Amino acid sequence: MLKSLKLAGGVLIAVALTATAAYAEAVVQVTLIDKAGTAGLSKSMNLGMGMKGDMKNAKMAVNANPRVAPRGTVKFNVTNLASELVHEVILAEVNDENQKLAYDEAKNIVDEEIIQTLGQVAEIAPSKTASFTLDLKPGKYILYCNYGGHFMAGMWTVVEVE
Amino acid sequence: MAGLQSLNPPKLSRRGLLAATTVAAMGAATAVAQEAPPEKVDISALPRVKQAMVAPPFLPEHEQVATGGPKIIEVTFAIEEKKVAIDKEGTEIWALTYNGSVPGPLIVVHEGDYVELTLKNLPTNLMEHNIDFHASTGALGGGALTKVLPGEQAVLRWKAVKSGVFVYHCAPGDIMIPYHVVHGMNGAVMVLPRDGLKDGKGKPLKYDLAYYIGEQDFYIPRDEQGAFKKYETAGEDLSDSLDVMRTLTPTHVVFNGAAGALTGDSALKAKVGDSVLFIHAQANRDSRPHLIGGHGDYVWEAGSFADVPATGLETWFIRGGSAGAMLYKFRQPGIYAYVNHNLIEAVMLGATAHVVVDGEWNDDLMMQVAKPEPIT
Repeated sequence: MLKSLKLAGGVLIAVALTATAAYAEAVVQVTLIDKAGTAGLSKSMNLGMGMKGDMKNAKMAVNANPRVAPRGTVKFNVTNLASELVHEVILAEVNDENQKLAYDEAKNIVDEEIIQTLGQVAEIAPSKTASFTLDLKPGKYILYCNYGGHFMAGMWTVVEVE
Repeated sequence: MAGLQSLNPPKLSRRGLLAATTVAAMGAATAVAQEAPPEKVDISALPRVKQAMVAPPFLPEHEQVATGGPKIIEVTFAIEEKKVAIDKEGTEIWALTYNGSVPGPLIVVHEGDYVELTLKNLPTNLMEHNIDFHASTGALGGGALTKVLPGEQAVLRWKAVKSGVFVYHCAPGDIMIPYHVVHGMNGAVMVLPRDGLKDGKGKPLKYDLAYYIGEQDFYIPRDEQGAFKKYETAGEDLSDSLDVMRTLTPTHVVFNGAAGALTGDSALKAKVGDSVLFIHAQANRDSRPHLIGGHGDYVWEAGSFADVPATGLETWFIRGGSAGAMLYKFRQPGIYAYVNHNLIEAVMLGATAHVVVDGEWNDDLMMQVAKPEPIT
């Protein structure tokens, strides 16, 4: 599905969107990984985006498949694979994976007044799934959890819209 | 039962028989109560034996009759989330496994021994796991004491107080319990009586070979075109899988992780005259094993070796969430099919194993008197 959309011209996409909306939607599966449990995250682990941390040490993560989606309507199916912790997912536009995000050190969270949220699912309980759908123009987008310390624990990933 | 009875004081108005039953039950309760003050077992004085785990359908090295007193049997499971093919068409699942196999390895001990399990959740995994041993006593079968996140390990020791074959499985909580179990995260333990298996009349029963069959029901999601879906990482299929699981209709019912895992080159092997013990575990769903062309000479259908085995069965029943054992002495050569005798599941969903038996054909038991020919 992704491939055929990618190959089709703009006009065709528009037709496809109207004719079969369900097929036109690209779907990205997002899983929220939590290897830290309830361990304290009050101290920043410095594994946020653009910090060049060793992500192998990340105790929390966001996985997205596929990582590249066609422009247009994208549905994000988010599954929280954590066993104890509630998480959220926020989508925001970024330049690339090296961009350092504005960060509120006191609250240990990304500053959402500067990094504008385009879409999100708040409060996904463990083992639950939620979704959100957005029309996205080409560019790079970060998917991250902004619960205290989670971003710095590695709970982010970048997807690309072509 | 004894425990429950003891909570309800016997009614004096009951008739003799009932009263006698109650008294007997109370007697049992007392006996249990007398056992209760734990004899001070000096764990540090017990001999320790490492049991090397082997992949199914094989069993680890073990004695059928125990020599010496109780031991601590040390085993290690590494939990691994891995993508595996479950049929010849290449249908995939991100299996959740103990030691990389579906089912997980069989542990073999004797009644009175201790199992000391080191449970490692590999750092590359994405989910929390644990283990619930049906053979153990307390803490949700150990489930409450073994919750490990990726990169963690825990050690659990439990005493094998009941003899028989028992299921173990992952039980991390809520819907993750059935999800993990139908993604392959289950296996079995065999607790042999210290003096070995008996026929119920005191006659010892020995096996020349033993095979361990884990039956697994899989619920693979399909896409809009009806093709089985594939996923890039473990756990991504959670939401889709739950939808299929809710139908209670498996897409695959297989032995040892995949359709055809125990046929062809991987068929089980035996010789005429061999007594073969078959251990059959099903952690989730009912099954009904049958050996086509043979029988169950001795069958511990519900799995307890404290019970007298049934004899001469054609088909036996494995309750979902249990394991059973069957002993059969092969009397004819040839290829036997060991199936779940819901034949739709055996032939169309995958629940078939083969046993290739070498030896001399016995005309007395069976012979082809006339080959197929036109009706005269």
